[in-house]
Amino acid sequence: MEDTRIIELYNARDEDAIRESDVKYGKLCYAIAENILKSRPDSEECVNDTWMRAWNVIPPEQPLSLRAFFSRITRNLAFDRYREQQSEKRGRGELPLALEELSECVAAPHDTEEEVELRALGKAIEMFLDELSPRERNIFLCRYYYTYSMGEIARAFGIRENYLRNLLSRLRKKLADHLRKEDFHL
Amino acid sequence: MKPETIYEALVHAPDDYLDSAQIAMERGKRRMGIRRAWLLAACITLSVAMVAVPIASYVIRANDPLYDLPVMKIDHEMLEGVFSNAISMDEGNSSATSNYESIRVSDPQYLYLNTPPQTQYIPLYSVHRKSYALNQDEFSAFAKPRIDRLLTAMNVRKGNVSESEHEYSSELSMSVEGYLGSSPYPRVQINANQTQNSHEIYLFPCYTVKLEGETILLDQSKSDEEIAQSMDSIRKKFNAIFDEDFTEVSVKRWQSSIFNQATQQNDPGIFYSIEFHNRNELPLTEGRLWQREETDYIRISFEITSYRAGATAPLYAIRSIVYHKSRIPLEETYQLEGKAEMLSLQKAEELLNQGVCFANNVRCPFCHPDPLPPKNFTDYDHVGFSYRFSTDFNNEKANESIVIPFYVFYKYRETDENGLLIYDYTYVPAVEFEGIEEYFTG
Repeated sequence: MEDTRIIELYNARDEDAIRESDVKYGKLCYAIAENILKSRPDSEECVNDTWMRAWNVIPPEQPLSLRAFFSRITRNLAFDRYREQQSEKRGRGELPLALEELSECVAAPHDTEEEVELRALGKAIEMFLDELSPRERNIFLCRYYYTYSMGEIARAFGIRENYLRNLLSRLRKKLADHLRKEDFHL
Repeated sequence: MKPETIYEALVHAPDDYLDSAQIAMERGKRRMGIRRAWLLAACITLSVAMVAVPIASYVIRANDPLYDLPVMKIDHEMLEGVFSNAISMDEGNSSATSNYESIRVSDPQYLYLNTPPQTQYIPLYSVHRKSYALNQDEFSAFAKPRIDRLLTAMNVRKGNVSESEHEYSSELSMSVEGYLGSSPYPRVQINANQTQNSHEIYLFPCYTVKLEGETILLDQSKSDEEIAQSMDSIRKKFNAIFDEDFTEVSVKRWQSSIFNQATQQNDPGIFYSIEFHNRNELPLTEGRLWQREETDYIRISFEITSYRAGATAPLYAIRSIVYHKSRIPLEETYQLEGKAEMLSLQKAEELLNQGVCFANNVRCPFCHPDPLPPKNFTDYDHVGFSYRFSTDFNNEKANESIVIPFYVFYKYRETDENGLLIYDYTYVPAVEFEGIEEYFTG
């Protein structure tokens, strides 16, 4: 079913909207949650919460891309749950590795969080993504947004893991340089 | 700032970027499913798998409409540095070219032709020859254990060692004591080459070499496949010496007629290269063995000729043994950049007939003082396929260049006095080039 038709169902408060969302994007949302949480029950719960969130915000939200919209919700929910698990020392999955890699972009991660405007940072990251080739951008987002494992990304893009690691390392360095140029304190 | 902050901020990436990344991931997973099924079928025809797989793997990918490489605009400046020779189109003789090379073979199968792929789009690679500064510790760590094991296996001792430093390389040269071969001055040379980002170990000239008591022998009467099988024990011994795990054996042979000063006659020179390497997963294929920059390898070069000793009986000798090891991952040198529309064979033939042809690096003026006579390739005998890249490191642009595919057209010229077939061959680009007419007429 087309995204526009699914959104019409949400707007009409027709509960088929959730069923159709699950049919079209359920696997994607589950994969995103599972990459982060590595737990089937937790991931399923995140997906269910995604539909509930979507039901509550559409309308008035009218997302242009349901894929991106749902993936954001699921990712945020999964990340919140991951942080809860971390505080309970139960964290696992690809996310710790991805965060460890991203720590290269920050000179000294602080225990007390500095005040950063997420939106301004998001804009800067968007500018960084603009500068990448489509392939580099896809690979970067598959790793650090969708949190796919190195093996999965290497196989899907037809490259060796060694090459992937080197490429991501170069991209992280590029991101760090870009953020410094934009006056973000790393 | 915490890494989690960057992770969270990525949620603000534009929708189309997020969609594109996920779609690319899904396509890749689907493509891997198709490729696995294809490779199972390819294994059945094992006799051609060695050549067919590298080409066919990218034929499938390029034909796949979901393959998301950007389509690249190719202009004539990208040809610079790939070949040194290109001639202007000759309006007076539009079907001839003076831009070709020659090769002698005992049989056309030894042209080792690669079949041109049947595809609309073909991948292009970029070469990034970054020079990583030489590191003495790295060099020592590479050389010492391998040399020690090699000398032990050959049952010889280290002789005098001399060192030399050049602008982009450093070299250790070592004579060998206790060598029982017939070579008058065997030498082991270890290079660290900055420009090529490689370490190399050379043995030359060798003539005969024994490893752990086993003499490296080649039986000319055998086929290439039989020779490769007979080298399996030597492959394993070299793997142990150089701490490698090469699984493939490639055999290439070529011939030439060499003038023998003593007898004042042209003698047949037969050369073999036996190479141990791993399967090259980059679809870069060459018709000649000595352009193999895309893999690490151990290469044993044989010659069977009488011209060296001036004797009438052929001399069978190992000319050299080379172990080439890249200092950086192959993927850092060759990167998949995009795709270009492949020229059909018919269009390539039109260019061929117009004289839009390339040959290899500038021919040696001492060996070839006279310009080549124009040659009509219209009724060529064979067509092959080859990626070419710049190896001219004096060219500033050579360190960043595009690897370009070419059709290779072969035409039989004559048979020489030793019964060898002489083929002339020339290259025509296999992709659409903007401005190629200007390149030839400018």
